[in-house]
Amino acid sequence: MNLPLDNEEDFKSNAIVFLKKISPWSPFDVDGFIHELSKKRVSSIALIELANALKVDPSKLYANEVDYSVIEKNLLSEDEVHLLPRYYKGSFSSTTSLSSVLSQMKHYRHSDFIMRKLQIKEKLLEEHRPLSILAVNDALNYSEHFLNNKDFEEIGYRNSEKFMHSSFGRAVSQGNTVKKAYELFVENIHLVETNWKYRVKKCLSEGLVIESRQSDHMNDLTQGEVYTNDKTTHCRLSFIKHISEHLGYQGVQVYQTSEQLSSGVFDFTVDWSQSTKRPCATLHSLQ
Amino acid sequence: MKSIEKTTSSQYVANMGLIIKAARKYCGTTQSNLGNIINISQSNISKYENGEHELNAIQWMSFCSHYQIDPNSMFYGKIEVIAPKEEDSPGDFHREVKLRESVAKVGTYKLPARYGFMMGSTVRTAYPFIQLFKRELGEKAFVEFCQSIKMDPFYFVIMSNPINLYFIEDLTQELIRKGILKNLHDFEKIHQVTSFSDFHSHLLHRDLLKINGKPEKLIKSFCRYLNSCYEINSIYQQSSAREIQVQNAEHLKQLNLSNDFKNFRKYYNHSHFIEFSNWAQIGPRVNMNGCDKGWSFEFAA
Repeated sequence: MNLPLDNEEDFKSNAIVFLKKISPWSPFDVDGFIHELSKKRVSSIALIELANALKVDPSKLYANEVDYSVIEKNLLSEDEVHLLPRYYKGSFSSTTSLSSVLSQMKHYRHSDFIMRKLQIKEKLLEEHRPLSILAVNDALNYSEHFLNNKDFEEIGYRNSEKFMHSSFGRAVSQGNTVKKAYELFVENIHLVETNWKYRVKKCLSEGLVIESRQSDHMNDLTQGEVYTNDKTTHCRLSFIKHISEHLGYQGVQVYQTSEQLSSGVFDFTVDWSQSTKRPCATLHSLQ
Repeated sequence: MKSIEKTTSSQYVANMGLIIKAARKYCGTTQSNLGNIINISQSNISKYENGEHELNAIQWMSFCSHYQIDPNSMFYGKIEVIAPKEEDSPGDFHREVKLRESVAKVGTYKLPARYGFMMGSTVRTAYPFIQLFKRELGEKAFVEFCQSIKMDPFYFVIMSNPINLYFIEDLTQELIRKGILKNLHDFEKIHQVTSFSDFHSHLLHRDLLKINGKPEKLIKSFCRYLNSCYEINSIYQQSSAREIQVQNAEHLKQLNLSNDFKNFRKYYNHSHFIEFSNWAQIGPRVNMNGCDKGWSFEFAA
């Protein structure tokens, strides 16, 4: 990103107006910042300190790409969480899925960096709440220099691990074969997210072909706009793949059989020809 | 803004200098090219790299954006990960922990033969001991130590840079020679280092507890995280509900590590697992035992 030098005056004036507005109740001392912003050139330390006080990304702050009304609401209340309007748009995904992406970034010490880019605070991740898939997509896009296929695999694994201990996990664990488990997956995936709908397309002698399509309400919302990307789809495929593992089956293969990962529309095959029988103990440990 | 103390401010400027130089050297960017990126004349770059001047906001943001570095790194004096633009890329940037069997250069940093093979850790793993070294003996002593082992001290500003266990062994031996560690069995000091480290933020985080409060689930996930993100010199395996077995990875056969250092690694693991057990409230004690494959840790109920 090339930051234009002529942004600085806009940034300074917007930030000063905002700081003056919040000065009566601000949790931090705004005068020092106003003093720093009044200088000809803003110091890097002042910019970073200000961005941290406002809990936003400094480059977005400098480029005037932050939403001051969201900052204000979040500063006003520690307990409430306010999001950028775009993350309320079609809340068919969840904070749990976003948290899985961020925890992978934690290993590279980049989760705070991404959270500031998204203008979200830690509090958001404390509970499972509906959230737009755009938040997950943005987090993955901001991390694209750091994450690779191995990371996407881990994110999917982690997400499946969490959801297997929810009502979704309890539902899919009712089946006592791989086939039944994935049929229950298709029936109950709405407990996890409703961005996508799934359908068993074909039954094979030792497998199932399942299709993934954008859900009708997502179609209505997006009007043809693509709300996903290949990274998000990779994480989703890993999520699907690890369900059988959490249920205690080893050797089940799940692989995509169509290539349109960037639009999220694809078919995948669940192949249990090499799978071991599920140990009985696993069912109890999940419940 | 809480007025920035002069000493704090000068520390940030010094940190900024470390980061600029470490990133520039990693990518092999010339001072002249860096000057173009941040709009500073080549002749002045060294003043910034020596921590004599602070970059202004636009310069620092342009620098961080170019190398994909977290702007907050100026507070810590280290780069967690660096992702240079393709035109600057040294070809292989070391974001993930994976075995590097033989490496002559990382970025443009040259590595001596002793450290450039069987690299299964990153600077991040050794950083608690580097911090201990700097805290007790000072930055200058660390630079001298690096010179003595023919390593560039700026290499250790980038946490994702790979290292092998010889480096950690040599570093800990130096700490013993300087009287900072009594010996490699100095568990009290080792534990002090572990609790001082940022191990908590690295591996022990909210997400682990979200999975399930049951100890066996937590231990399972913890093992997975250790294997995928921490280091790959050891293989961590959950052998029973409350036990983790640790065995050396195959590639360690190619390193002639002293027995003392091998034991030190067990104590270091033990210390980490005690931290984990306390944090996850798994149990009051972690017992360390020898086993066929290596060593094991039992989380007492």
